[in-house]
Amino acid sequence: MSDPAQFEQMVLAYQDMVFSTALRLLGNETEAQDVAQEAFVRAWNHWHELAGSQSVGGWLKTVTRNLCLNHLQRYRARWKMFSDLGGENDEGEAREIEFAAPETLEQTLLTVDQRELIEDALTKLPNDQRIALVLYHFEDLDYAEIAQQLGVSLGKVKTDIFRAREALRKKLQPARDSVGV
Amino acid sequence: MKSNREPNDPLATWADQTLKRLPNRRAPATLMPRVLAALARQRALPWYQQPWFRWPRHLQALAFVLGAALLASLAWFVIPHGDAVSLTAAKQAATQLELVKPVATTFDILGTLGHAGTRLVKSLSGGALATLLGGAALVWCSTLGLGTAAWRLSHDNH
Repeated sequence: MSDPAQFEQMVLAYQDMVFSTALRLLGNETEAQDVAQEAFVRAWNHWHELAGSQSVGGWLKTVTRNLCLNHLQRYRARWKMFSDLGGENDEGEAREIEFAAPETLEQTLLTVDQRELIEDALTKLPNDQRIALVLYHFEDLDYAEIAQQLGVSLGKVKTDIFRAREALRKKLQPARDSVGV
Repeated sequence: MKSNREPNDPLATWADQTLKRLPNRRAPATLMPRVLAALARQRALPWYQQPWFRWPRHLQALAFVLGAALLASLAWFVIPHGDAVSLTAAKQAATQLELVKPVATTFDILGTLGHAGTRLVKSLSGGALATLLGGAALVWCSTLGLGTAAWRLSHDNH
């Protein structure tokens, strides 16, 4: 198989993983596509090393994660990513995350499956909470590594992850009850 | 993927199990065409704007030879050679070669500037030197700040 054909096969095999990683970290489909595209362009530029390698998946995941973190750092000021955007008030207390009204949520549960509900809940988390949670549970980084990657304190990482889990639990509680989890 | 790292925390356990059950999201159908279009744009760039390992083989070899020659000539001028080869004699011999004359002239100029700079620093008092360094740092920081701001603005507009 020629290099371009082999490369296209690789893109088809890994595009869902790369796109999902970017989407979960960035919370925005357009930006996730941009990052996924850049990750694959970089893969092509390193194709002489990656072709036939077993580690291409890991390489792509790491590059995607780093591209996302760079992207988030670049737009830090605009997003107020690690400040109180939707997450804390002046006293440093967590504000209640805005969820749909219970009636709406129940209706939603009847029409969308649990997977979409979780994805939706993830997207609606404040940026700093979502990023920390995704790095911990999907990227398997530990608290210290996340703090280092994001340039924030260990305490903030722990608090963000705890709040994110709490928010997810609250959001998904009706779904858990309905399936008896 | 690592298994649950906080088995004693029910909330962490639940979150871990819930999130790790999620399958990957399907990438949009537009992703592959976008990647291929980006690669086509990259291939259309002239060779010197592409990564080194995508250059034509003969240009890679030429760049490697020139790089090695540059490093070797720098090492020759910078590293003392002891008794076997006198640095001054080597410099004199090198200046006879047309090819390295510009390099030798550049080193002479840099050497003269360095000597003058050293004398200037020695003649300055501690306060004046601190002021000068502070001023230089201020100019550097403001240039960096302005440059960053300009880049951000142009990037955001883009």
